[in-house]
Amino acid sequence: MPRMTLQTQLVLEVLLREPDRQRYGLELSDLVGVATGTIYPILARLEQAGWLVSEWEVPTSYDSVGRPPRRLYRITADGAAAAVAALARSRARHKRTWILGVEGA
Amino acid sequence: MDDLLAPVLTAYTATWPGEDTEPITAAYRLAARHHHGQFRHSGEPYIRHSLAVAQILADLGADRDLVCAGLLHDLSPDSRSALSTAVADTLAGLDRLESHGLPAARPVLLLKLADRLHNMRTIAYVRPEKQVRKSTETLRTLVPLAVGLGVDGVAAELATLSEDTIRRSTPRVRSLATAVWLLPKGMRGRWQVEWTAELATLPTRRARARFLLGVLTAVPRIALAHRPGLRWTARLAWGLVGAGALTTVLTSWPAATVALAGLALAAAVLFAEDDRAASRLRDFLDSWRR
Repeated sequence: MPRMTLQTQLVLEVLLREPDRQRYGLELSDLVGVATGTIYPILARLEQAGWLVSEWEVPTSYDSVGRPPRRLYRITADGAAAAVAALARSRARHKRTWILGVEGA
Repeated sequence: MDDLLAPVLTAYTATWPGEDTEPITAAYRLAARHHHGQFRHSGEPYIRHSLAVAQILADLGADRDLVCAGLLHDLSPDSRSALSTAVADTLAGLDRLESHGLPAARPVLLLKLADRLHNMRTIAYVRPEKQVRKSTETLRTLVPLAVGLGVDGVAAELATLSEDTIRRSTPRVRSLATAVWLLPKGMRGRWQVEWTAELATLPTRRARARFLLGVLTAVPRIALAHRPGLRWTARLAWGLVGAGALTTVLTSWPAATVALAGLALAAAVLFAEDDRAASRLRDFLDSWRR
């Protein structure tokens, strides 16, 4: 399982909002509010774990603007299920720590 | 698998209705078998290139032998024994053209142009130096050749692709390429194309500079994502890259030189199996400073 850093969780939440939609790195970086230096390693890790799949943008949409194709990422069915579970786990853990913290105070 | 060939056959029969297409199908099968397991820089199966070249030729109204030659043009000489004389002659003509230059018969020249046209359409996947070299060569020799042969569409597309590639080859795109060379082999092309594309969408100089810096810090972590065994070395390298970038921006020459040495060392440690990593890193820092 990929490391569930806070930024990773934010990326997964954004992807889960519209699981069928393909997004490119810079777009995710803007949506999530995470620096580009952080977004690509997260995407690489999630893809390595099989939670995401990526493919090149179709030629017709970039040929005209004269730049190479962007890489589009989409969450997989397995990835979505695993992400929902992982997010729930880390939320539960977060809640527990918070309650304990309150009790301890 | 044969439906990949269908568009080629459609284009061929549009010019040559009623002709037997069986030799083209046979040539395709032979090429597919020959290139099985081979890949282009883009990561696509090699046969896609053979098909694309045949498609360009068929669209130009080429006859059956030339369409077959398009499918088979990257077959090594020792595996051409089964080919018809006409196809084998065209391929031999292409070999001669590529080693000795002109003159060559019209079909050979058309084949060369079709091959280059598809290579130029997929030029984004090769190394930037090579991109510029190929584009320059295309503008100097192949565009005039296409004009001379009267294939104006090919000439125009080759010219546009070459000019765009040369124009796009800014120092920033070149720095990006050098940074990517710190990644393990096999992942470089993909990230280079992905980042060059994203970089091209950014409107301001400032945004592009920030993007480039971000990507630079991402490189060791991406290497790590693909090879988790290197975790600690990668952390060390990342720290040094970060410190190095900071020092290079903030302070004077001596400090920058120390950072440079540290970065070269880190790269050498991280990619020990790749002895050119350190020199690539140095190239990258040079281009970054300019």
